[in-house]
Amino acid sequence: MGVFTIGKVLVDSLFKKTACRMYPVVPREWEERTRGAVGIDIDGCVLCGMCQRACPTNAITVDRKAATWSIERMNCIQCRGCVDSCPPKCLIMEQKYTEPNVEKVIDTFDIPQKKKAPKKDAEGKAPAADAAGGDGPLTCDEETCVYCGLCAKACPADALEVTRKPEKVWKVDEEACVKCGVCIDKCPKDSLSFGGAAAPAEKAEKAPAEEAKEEAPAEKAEAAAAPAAEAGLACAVDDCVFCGACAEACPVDAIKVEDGSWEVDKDTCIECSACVDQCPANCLTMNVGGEGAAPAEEAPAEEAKDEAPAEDKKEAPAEAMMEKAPRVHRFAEMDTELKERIDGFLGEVKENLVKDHGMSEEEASKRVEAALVASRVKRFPYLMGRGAKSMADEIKD
Amino acid sequence: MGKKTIIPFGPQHPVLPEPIHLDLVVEDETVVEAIPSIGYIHRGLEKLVEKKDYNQMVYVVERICGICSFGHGWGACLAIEGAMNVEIPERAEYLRTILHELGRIHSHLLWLGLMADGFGFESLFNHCWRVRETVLDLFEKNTGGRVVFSICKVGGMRQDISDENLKEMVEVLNGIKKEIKSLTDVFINDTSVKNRMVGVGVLTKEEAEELCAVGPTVRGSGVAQDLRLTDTHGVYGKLGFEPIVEEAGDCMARTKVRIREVFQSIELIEKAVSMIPEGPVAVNVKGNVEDGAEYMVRLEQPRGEAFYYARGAGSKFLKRMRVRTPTNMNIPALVKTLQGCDLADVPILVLTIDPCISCTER
Repeated sequence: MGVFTIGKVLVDSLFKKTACRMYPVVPREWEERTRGAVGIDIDGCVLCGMCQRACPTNAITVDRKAATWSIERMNCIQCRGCVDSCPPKCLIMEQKYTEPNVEKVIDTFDIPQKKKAPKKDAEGKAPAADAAGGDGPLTCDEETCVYCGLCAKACPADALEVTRKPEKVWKVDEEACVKCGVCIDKCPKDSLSFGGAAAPAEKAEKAPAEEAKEEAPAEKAEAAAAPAAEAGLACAVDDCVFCGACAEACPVDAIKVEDGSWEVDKDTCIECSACVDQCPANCLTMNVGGEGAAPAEEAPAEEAKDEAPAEDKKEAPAEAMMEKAPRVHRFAEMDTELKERIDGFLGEVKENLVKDHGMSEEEASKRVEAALVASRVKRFPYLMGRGAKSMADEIKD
Repeated sequence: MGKKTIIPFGPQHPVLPEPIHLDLVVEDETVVEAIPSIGYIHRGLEKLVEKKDYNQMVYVVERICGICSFGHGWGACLAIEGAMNVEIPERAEYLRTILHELGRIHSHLLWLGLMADGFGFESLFNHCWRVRETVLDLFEKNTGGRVVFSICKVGGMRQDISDENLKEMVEVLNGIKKEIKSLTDVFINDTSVKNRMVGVGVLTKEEAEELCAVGPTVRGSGVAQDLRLTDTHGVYGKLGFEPIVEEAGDCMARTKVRIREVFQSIELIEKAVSMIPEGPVAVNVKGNVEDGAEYMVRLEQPRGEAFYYARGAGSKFLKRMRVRTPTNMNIPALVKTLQGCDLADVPILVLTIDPCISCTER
């Protein structure tokens, strides 16, 4: 007979501890993933506005002019969309809820605008903005650009348009651009920068051109000594794990990876080096323009054609541009000339620090080392392009 | 024959957490006819699709309902992924299946509690919800939310769930199995419960098929219809199971279907966790849904078949998003079972279809 069948459950419960917690005497236990309230690290924020776009309830407002980030707590549905979309990862879901309230509260945070510490996520933009005396529009150095389109693909705001055919065009919609700096990080050629003022851009272009000219004989000598160096992209198949990361990264689908085979279509390849950056086994090498080696007929010719008009305008010697120094992707792969160049450059920076900013020799070298650790390898060519003086200015404090 | 009277039932009624209104035409104590009407909590989801891009739309669809939240998010993602021709990694499919089944356990336990509350068995109600709390804790630990999970996204899952956490999930579920068993025994064996449920609101197999009932309602009437086996969402095909069917078609049969489904879901989770492959949980989705690209998907929610449709507009906004929920399909069956029942049984009959009016109105 089914009478009082719940009796067993009730008797069992008598000898168990209570299922409830004596809140608030016993505080709530938070799980690591609990989505509480949205919090912001104001030092990391670049005011890009991605969170505002991602928010399904329009709870977040980013005001670039006033440099504020505000959230309407009542509207927030704790979906974590903003945290996922944040390019500098300065938003977090805090493990707490906001205090109960009887009115709708808007929490506003003031974002410190100029960051002096070379923080990882701000670095793509802060120095450029400083150099231009504000945050100018995004510009592209047309001489180094290979029109690979990676920036347009990465752009969270769809503000960039890159076409290769029929004409090579790089366009930015300045109204749509949120200046988040994601494109700068993505650019395999470091052609992009904020600021766009003519002065730093020209400096950036001239410096490597001149240096390349000076070193051209040395490179040629090296190329002659190692005739085996293949033009364009090459893969050390022995080290290759055939993961296909390079094929995925390739913006023009020039690479084909199958089990045990790796092929590149050199006619399609635009030598953007995006694949080299992605390769987990470090087995790819990019020899831009063939470095004067014998089989590199097509590539340099094409490049010369592409770059000729631009060079005319800037009156840069075409030869020097053709003999551009090979692009360095990792310190491990650096050749000796470049190492010398970099050492020389760092020496200049140190001198500048000592002379202009009155630092002691020791302090200056410490400063330079710290700056090297803080800046990523990829950003280094960009700093070099801007010259020793501006780098010294940047790292002096 | 007595005089016909109309008694309004709802939208505010002690047993109903959600607003549905029934005009009950009664003769003496017997209901002759029931005329349902809804429209108290319409929220305009289908218009909202023009203003929220497809990624934001997933968050919106998820919030249709607080009980089958994961299923709704999954359905929306499936429809959009289908329209964009995106294939998601296998591990994500497994994780989605596991969380969906966990959602089913939580939904059925909630319903069992509400049912007990419906016929006045308060202590049984509280015990059911106590056990359900364990499942909610599992959700919070693994997804970050107790009710709305926001872990499904177009292209896969937003966060991976580690193998240790999955194993712990299975352990916890096996741990509460005994407790669920002792509670469901009360539903099945207790005389007072039987008096309220056995033979009440019989829906025959023919009627269930004709009225297009779905989910446990139709399975309680002897129709073996389970979309988890016939449609291709998730990895149900690999898990191998039989749909749960009860023949009687009364309130007790529908309750038994749900009780057995709780245990089946625990088994399915255990099986899925043992088979889950390593790998990524999401693919990168870029670009917009093409103009005119459309996709339709059906999903077995805890309450039955839900239908999702998405149509692209060539921009980041969708042109159309349609959701049809199980309660919508079960209302005709409900009206049918109400004809000829006692007025006192109306709350129980309304509850046995597991009504979710918020889902129905969107």
